[in-house]
Amino acid sequence: MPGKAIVITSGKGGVGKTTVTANLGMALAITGKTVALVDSDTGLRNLDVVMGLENRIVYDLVDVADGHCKLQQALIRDKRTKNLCLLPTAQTKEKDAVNPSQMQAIIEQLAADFEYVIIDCPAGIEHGFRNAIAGAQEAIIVTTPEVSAVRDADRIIGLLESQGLYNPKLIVNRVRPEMVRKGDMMDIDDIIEILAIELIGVIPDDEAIIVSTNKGEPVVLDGKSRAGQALSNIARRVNGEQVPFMNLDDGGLVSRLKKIIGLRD
Amino acid sequence: MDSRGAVVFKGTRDGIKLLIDEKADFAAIINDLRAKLRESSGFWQGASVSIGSLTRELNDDERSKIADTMREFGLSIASASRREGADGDLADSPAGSSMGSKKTETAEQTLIVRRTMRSGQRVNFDGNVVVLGDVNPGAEIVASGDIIVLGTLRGVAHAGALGNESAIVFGLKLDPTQLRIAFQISRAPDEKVASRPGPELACISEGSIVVKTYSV
Repeated sequence: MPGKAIVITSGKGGVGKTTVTANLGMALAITGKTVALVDSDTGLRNLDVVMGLENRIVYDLVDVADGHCKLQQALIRDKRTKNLCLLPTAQTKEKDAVNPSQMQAIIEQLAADFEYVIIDCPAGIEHGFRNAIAGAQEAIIVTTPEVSAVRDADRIIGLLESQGLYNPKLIVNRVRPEMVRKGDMMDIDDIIEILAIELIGVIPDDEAIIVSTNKGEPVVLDGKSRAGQALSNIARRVNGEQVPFMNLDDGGLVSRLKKIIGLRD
Repeated sequence: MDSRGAVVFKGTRDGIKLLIDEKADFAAIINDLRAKLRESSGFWQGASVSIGSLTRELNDDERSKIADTMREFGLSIASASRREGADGDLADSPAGSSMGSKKTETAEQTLIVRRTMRSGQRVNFDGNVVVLGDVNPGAEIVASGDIIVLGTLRGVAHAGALGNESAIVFGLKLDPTQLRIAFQISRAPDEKVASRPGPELACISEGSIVVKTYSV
């Protein structure tokens, strides 16, 4: 049975696609699934850095597409878990170095050997996007609770539908519950009302993410991080488990005090 | 033609047309005409009908024979148009046809979009547009006729795009980025207005676009 190919996309840049790709892959791998991560952001590759595997790159996606090497030679096994492999892309080339049908062939080959193939899509709607979705069966849209990100996500959903990728799932990243409570930030219901797709995860804004991406250590490995917890929950949902959403809103200082004293909020 | 016979009464925006099958021989045409008029005699009394032929031209003799037959049953001839292109097929039902030449305001064709329109999607249509879903911000509808959104309109809607100032924009919830009717452009006021529940209708009134609460 071939594995499932999922593309992580957003439209908007900087909302957390690469972070989600790395952590989703790592979380699935530590539960025992075999996972291949694919970086399709040719020219602006980041997945290798976020995974901490950049000094292990010898061959990349473009080499495989051009036939300079076999797919197996370009795959890098993760240094922490043997279930996880990374197919990096080239930094010295551009998006048009690969075309959608080459991409599709590579994804199909990976799906034959891995239970999950997770594709990190670049920002935008042009060639890079079209490459990333070639060969994907499912899509996860990442957005932040900002009007511009939601606008771009809506565009992407329309484009995915026109390419035959229906029912994408939604992750809302970098949520700040205090701001939502004050009315300064969109809340999840507002976002769902516009995007009208199934929510698969809400990730709180967490400084630990910045630390982890710089160190190359996916945050799901940090037991204390709330974002890490949220990402692990997302991985479980992707795997078919029903996991209740974390209560991100701890109510603010006053209700926290009330809880301590024993008064009802 | 088809099983409907050698002649067909068609209701159009400009009144009733009598369309004649060019392939039938003239005797059959007259027979069919008499039969149809007899069937629904009384219904047609006083109606004004224009004669059209699908492809061939009627000569004067034929035309006057048809006119006589019709007068027999109480119809009068409005005008005899020489050649019709194949009209958009309206059902050949008296209920559907407009009696006499009563002009209706709306354009003939209507496009129904059975999904939510997402950012970046665009519909251009010569006619009316009905959306069974939302119109998200960044989506655009441009129609020569009316625009009806059975959902929330958050994008841009341009009704009456060819200059029809009586076109309307209707939405179960109107919250557009911009509304355009004919040559007028309008946007929501800069100060935040409390959102009004319920369906609304936008139209041009006294030279500018106004939005009214819709009630039947």
